[in-house]
Amino acid sequence: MTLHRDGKARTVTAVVVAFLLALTTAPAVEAVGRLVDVIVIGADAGSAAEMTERVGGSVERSLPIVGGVDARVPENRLEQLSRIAYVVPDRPMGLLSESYGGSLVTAYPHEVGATALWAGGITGEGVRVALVDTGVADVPDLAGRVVASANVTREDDATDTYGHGTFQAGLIAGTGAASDGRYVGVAPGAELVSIKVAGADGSTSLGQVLAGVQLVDMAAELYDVRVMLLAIDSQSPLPPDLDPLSWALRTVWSHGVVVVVPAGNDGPDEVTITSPGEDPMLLTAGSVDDMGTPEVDDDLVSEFSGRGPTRWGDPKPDLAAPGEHLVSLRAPGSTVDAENASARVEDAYFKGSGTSMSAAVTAGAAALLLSARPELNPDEVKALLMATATGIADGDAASMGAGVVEAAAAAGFDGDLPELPDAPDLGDDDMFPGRGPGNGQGNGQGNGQGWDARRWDADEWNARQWAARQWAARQWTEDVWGARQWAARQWAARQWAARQWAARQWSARQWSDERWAARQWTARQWAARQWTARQWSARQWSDDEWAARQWSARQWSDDEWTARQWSARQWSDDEWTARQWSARQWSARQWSARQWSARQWSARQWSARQWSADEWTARQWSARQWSARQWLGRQWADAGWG
Amino acid sequence: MSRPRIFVVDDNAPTRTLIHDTLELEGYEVLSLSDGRALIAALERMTPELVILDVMMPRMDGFEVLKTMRNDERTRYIPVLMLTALDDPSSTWKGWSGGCDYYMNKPFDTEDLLAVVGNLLAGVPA
Repeated sequence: MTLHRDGKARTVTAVVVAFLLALTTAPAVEAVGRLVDVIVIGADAGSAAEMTERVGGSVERSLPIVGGVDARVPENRLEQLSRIAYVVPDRPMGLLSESYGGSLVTAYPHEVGATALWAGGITGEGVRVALVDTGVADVPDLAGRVVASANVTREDDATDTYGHGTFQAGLIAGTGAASDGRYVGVAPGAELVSIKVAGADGSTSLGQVLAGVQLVDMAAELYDVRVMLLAIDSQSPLPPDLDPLSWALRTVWSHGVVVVVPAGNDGPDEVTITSPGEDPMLLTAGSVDDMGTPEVDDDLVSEFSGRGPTRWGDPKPDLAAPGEHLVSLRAPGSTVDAENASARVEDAYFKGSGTSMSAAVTAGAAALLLSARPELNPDEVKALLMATATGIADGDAASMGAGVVEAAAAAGFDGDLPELPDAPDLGDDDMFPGRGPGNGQGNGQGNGQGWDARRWDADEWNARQWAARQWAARQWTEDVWGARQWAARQWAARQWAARQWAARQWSARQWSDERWAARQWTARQWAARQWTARQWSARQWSDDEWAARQWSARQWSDDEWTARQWSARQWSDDEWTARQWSARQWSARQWSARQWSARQWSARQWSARQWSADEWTARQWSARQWSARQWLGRQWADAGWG
Repeated sequence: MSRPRIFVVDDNAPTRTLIHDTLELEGYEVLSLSDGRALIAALERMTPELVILDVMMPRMDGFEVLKTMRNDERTRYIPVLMLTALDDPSSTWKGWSGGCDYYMNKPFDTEDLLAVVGNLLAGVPA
C-alpha cells in the first residue's frame, strides 16, 4: 500500500515537473516561432530579399516579375515584416476540378472556325503558346510541338504525371497523329512552351505559379511566345489590383502575350468567376456544350461554367468556347488517366469537360488569329475575338460574355477595330517635362486613337496595380504613419530616383517604340550598353552634370519632397494614375523589363548609400581599383576566353 | 563581420584568375575551382553566399551542376550566377528554367560582373 502510494506520488511529481518544464520551455518555442510560407513584395526583388532577411526569414525563390520573393518567415515576425513590405500568404492552389468522360461526339474545331482557317492554310504556324500547367507527356500528337519546357515543381522532370497539361496541350496544338487526323487541336501548327507548376497530385502554390509565369515572361523574349494559358483556380481572396498573380499576368500581357484564363467551374450561380479569371485585363473563357454539332445556335451554356459579374463588380466572362466532352490527349499512367479509365478514347485519347478546356480552345483560337494577323497586340486580339463572337439564345453576358469564340470571323474581320477604353486624361505633367503626348516621343499617332489608346489601356492597369500596391503595402492609418514614414520615403525615393533618372536620361534619344522592343531589354544588352564604366565616368557622373540634372537640392529637399510627392492629395488613386504613372515611358513593358533586370536595378543600386557622391567616389571609382581592373582586363585579353 | 564567400567554377585558368582577382580586389572571399565535381565536393564542406558557374566544363557541365544543387536541400537556395559563352535562346532558357539567379554571357565587363554580384548578394553585408 505504501509502495503503491509512493509510486502514485512519484507519478504525480513527474507529471508536475513535466508540466513545469513545458511551461518554462514554451517561451523558447514561441521565441523561435513557427515558419510560414509567404510572398514578400517590395520595390523590387532585391529589397524584398533584404527585408525578409532583416526579420530572420529565408528567401526560397526570387520573383522579380512581382518585385518580390517566395520566402519562409517566422510567424511572429510577420507583423513587423508587413510594416515594410507587402506580404501575402504563399497559399496552396490547384488546377480546376474537371470531369472526365461523357459523350464521344465532339465538334469544337468546326464550331470555333478552326477548320475554316485550316482550309486556308492558317494552322497556327509561327505562333508559340505557353502552357503553365502540369507539363506534357511525350506522345505522338505532340511530337516536335514542344520547343521548350521547364519544371518548377519538386518532381524530377517536366513530364506530365497528373494528366491535365497533356490534355490541354492536345486541345491547343495536338496534331492528330495517333488518330489519322480525327482528333486534332484548334491550332495544330502552333508550337508549345510547357512550364510545369504542379505534380502528380495536381496541386501547386502561389509561389510556384508565379515562378512559372515569370518563365513565360522570359519565354516571350527568348521564344516569342504570343499566347499563354493558365487554367487554375488560385482561390485568391484579393481583388486583382492587389493580387500578385494578377500583377504577374498583367506584366506578361503587357509584353505582348495574350493571357487566357478560365471562368471556373463553380456555376451556375451568379458571381462564381474564379481568380485569376476575375482580372479585367485578361481574356476569360466560359464554357458551352457544342451539342456535338458544328453550329453555334444550338449550344447551351455549361451548367458548371462560372457566371459573372465578378466579386468586384466587373463583367465576366469575356467569351465562351466549347468545354464539354472534348476529346484530347491522354497522358498514359498519369493520375487523371488512372482514376478515369472509362474516359479513355482509343489508346491515345481521353474525354474531358471544364472551363480549363474551353480556355484551351480559346487559346488555340487566339493562336490561329495571331497566325493570320501577327501584327495584333493582346488588347486587339481580345477585342477582335469578343467583337466577332457569336451570341446564343441560351446565354447572356453573365454566362457567355460576348458569345462563342469564332476564330475565322476574327481573322477575317476587316472593319475598324472595336472601341477600347480611352486613355486616361493626363493633364499637365510638370513632374516629367520631357515626356507625354505631343512631345515628339512615342509613335506619334496621338493620344486616344489607334495604337496609343490600346497601349494606354495596359498602362492604366499597370498604374492601378502599382497604386494599389503602394497603398496596400503601407496602410496609411494615422497611428502608423509616423513610424512608417521614413521607410516609406526611402522606398519611394528609390523609385523616384529611378524614374527621374530614366525619364531624363532616356528621353528623346531612347524612347522610340522600336528601341523599346522587348529584346532591347535583355540584361546582357542593358549591361553592355548602359553600365560600362566608360559611359558612366566620362559622360554621366560629373558632379556638375549630376547636380544640375538629377539631384537639385530644390527637388529633393525634404520639404519639397513632402510638399510635392507625399501630400494625401497626390497619393489618391486618381492622382497617381494621372500624374505619376500615365506616361508611356512607364508602361508595364518597361516596368517589368526593369524587374527582369532586377538584380541590376535592385534597391541596392538605388539606395542612398550607392547614390551618394561620396560613397560612389570612395567605393566604386577609386583610381586604384579602376587601374587594377584595367590591368586585369588586359591580362584577360591576352589570355583569351574559355 | 566576415566577408561574403563566393565560389568561382571555371575550367579556363585565365578566366578563373580574372574573376577571382576581380572579386578579391572588391573584398570578397573567393574560392576558385576548376570543374563541377570539385564544386559539389566543396559544397559538402562549406556554404558560400554565391556560386559563379561556367557551363562548358569537362566531367560535369554547369547545367548538370545547377540541377544537382537545386535538387539538394542544403544547396537549393544558394544563388547561382551562370557565366558562359553560350548565348543562344536554348542555353539561356536552360539556365533560367534550371533555376539560376542570373545568366550572364562571356565576354563580360568586370564592372558588370561586380554589379550583378553585388545585387545577387543583396542582404549580405559586404
